[in-house]
Amino acid sequence: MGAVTLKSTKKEKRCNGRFRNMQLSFFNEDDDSEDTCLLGPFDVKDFYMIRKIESSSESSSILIHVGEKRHVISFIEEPLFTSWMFILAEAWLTINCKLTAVLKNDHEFGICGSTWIKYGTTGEWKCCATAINKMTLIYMLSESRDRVFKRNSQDESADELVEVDLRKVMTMRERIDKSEWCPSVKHKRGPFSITLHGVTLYIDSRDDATTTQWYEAIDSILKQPAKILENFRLTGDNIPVIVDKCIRFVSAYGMKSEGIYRRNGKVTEAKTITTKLTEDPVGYYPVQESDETVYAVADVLRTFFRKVEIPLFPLSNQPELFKLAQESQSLDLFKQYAVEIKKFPIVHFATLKKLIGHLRNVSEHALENRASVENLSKVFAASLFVTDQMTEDGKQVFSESYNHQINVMIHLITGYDTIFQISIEEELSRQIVNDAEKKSLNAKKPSPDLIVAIHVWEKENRPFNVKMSLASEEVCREAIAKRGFDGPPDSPYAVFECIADGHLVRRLPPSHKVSRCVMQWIDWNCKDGFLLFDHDKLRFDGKDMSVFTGKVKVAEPGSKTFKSYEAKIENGTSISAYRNEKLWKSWPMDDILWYVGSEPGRKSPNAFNCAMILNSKDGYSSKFPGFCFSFKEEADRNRWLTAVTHFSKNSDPDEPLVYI
Amino acid sequence: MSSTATQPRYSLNRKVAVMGYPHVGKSSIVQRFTQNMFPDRYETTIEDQHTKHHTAFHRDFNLRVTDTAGQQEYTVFPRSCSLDVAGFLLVYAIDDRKSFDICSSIYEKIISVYGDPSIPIIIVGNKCDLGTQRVVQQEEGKELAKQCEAKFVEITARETNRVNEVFELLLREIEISRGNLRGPPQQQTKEQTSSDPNDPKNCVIS
Repeated sequence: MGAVTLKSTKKEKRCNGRFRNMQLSFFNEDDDSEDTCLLGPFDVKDFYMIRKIESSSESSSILIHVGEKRHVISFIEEPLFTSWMFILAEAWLTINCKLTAVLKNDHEFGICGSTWIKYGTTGEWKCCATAINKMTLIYMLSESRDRVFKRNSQDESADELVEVDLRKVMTMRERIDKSEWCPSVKHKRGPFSITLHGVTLYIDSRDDATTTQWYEAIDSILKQPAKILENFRLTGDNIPVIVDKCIRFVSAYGMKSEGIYRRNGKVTEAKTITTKLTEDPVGYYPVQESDETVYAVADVLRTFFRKVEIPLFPLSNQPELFKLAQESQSLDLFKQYAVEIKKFPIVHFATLKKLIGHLRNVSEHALENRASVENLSKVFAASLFVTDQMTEDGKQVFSESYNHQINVMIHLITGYDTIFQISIEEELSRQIVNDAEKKSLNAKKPSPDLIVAIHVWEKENRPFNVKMSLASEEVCREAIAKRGFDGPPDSPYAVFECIADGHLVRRLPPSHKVSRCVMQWIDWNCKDGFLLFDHDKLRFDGKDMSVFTGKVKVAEPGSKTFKSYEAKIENGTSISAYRNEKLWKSWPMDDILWYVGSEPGRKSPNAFNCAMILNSKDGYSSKFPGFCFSFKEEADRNRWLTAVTHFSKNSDPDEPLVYI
Repeated sequence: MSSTATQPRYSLNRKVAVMGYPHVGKSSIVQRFTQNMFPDRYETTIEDQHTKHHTAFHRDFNLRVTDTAGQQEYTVFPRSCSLDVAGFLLVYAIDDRKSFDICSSIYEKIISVYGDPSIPIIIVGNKCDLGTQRVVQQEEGKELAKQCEAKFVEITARETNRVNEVFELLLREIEISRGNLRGPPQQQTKEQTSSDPNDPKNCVIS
């Protein structure tokens, strides 16, 4: 079919390549008689894989695996290189699966050859003729095998052509569990998988080398930097993943941010997010670092549209839209918009629909975020009709069409439902989401199924998880039943709540649910609380019930200054402290929690301390929380704690609470 | 202020542009000056033209103020902001660090377009009524003004007098640069008692 000058294999020898009668062979440059053949002839049907390798340096090459050997053909002439690839791929596909019917002249094959493909985890490994055309993977069950096994049955489904849009690949994995390997192929590397929305494809080839080639080919496509909307990684509904991520983020965090899409975020933050979203659009999620993050993400979205080569509103459609922009709003006008927008390429249409729907939602919150339809239109019009590239080229440096652009945007946002033919279902589901958002704000209580860690003997020692709804007693039983439990099973145990870096400890009554502690921490915004399973060293015996009254040193929350007070329990319902016969402060029993211990930093005057913390939201502070009561004698503290526990309604009167 | 002079006098046309980061209050300043009102709305500007007659230094001026777009999508120098602009107000907000940082690059752009570093520019720190949220110190503003060889003023668009003074100051700079006014000291404006116009400290009204 033709001869081209080429370099061949390791020796880099110049010779003539010839492709004739479905055979590829190489001859000396000046002599192409049959007996001087350097390499070949190779039958096209023996080709196992053909891959175009584009290297940035110098020339690109075509890699062909034939039979057991591999040959690299490097072309010097670039234009012919593409046609060689096309001719070889076409020839190979024609022979192998009569794919010619779907072949088009504008196809650009990156790689083609035989592979083993498994569709889904439960699928069957099948030998396929596969090719990648631009960003689409095409495969079809190989007829060569069908001819052997299915000669009689003219199975229609065997001829089914499958197209996989590689832009929508979510993840690609190299290390696949051996149980998933293809039984017909034996090599060390094993297959790799690509996961799309809802399905995983396993791909393998004849040997390590060819599988690697396939992996690299797909990988390079995924990592290809994109300049037009169509070449970005897409979501299932044809929206660039990066756009989808930004819109989701703003929907979640920015609906109530004042000046969203108008104010700019931190430039560095926006840059980082852009870089990360470009590197790994599927895997990376922007994180709410501060209140400013949402503005940065909004910037990322706006600049994204400026950076692509073709604006979201394609240039060819703009004049028609500008005509409509001058009309006044009416249902009929919106229908004309619908017709015009239908002409957009699919990715542009889907992205526009998503974006306008989002802007509409944003503008519905205009009272809070002050992003009115007009403001949003002004900000976005300049990004969606014009790109940086166009501005640099000097086109539309300043254009009369600004007003038209803004009008188009206003029309699209207000007429969104009609223009994009939003169905009642979509409208309903949006309503449900809105309602759910409102609800979630009210329902702050975590589910009772939430799991919390119980530490054993000391912090970070073999913690195990329990459901928050368990009572302290049940937790103890679980701990003892755990495998590897290293304490005597019949000795007394309890669950203790530890806060303030573990310095304040409270024994949970057996019927006390773990969730009560956790909820209290949430209320207090206490971040270092943990639950400890430990020996219940000092059990309450009920003998010593003489109530302590007398002088005790007390420090106020956050303070290190201790003063002497007379503390007593009054009427069994409140605790009062007197100074010089005058009432200083009084606390209802139900509003306070008692903890044993004190923070060393507080330098309490006596050795035996306990802390009284109010269970209200502001009762806790990260530094020296609660009132610290400092006792001279251990017995005094015990009597005091026994008494307050006894009178405290929160606990079961039969149960002791003192722990030292 | 814009008195209709009793004796017939022709007015001088002067064009100035107000530039700066989004959301610093460019439109507010312009509207305070031209219409003596503080807009309580929240709208993105693309470009607005305002005119006001102003009398200063015993002359009538026909001041045309271009309110520009802060949004980066819109080109920094719109068509109507062409070479006949005589002076600039470069605005930042004292509660917005970014808006201040961006000032120097806008300044560079102005200079590169006009090719004349002596073009009258006044750097304006706006929103000084929000003192509690201040993140850009006055000294930093002065420092920037020194680097740009510009004047520096801190104002709030909520107050009329100061805003008018800013525009008067700009006019004076323009007239001085055109040789229509002899350099300082000038008695026309009350607060300008400075003897050295290049010392930005003397221009601080805050």
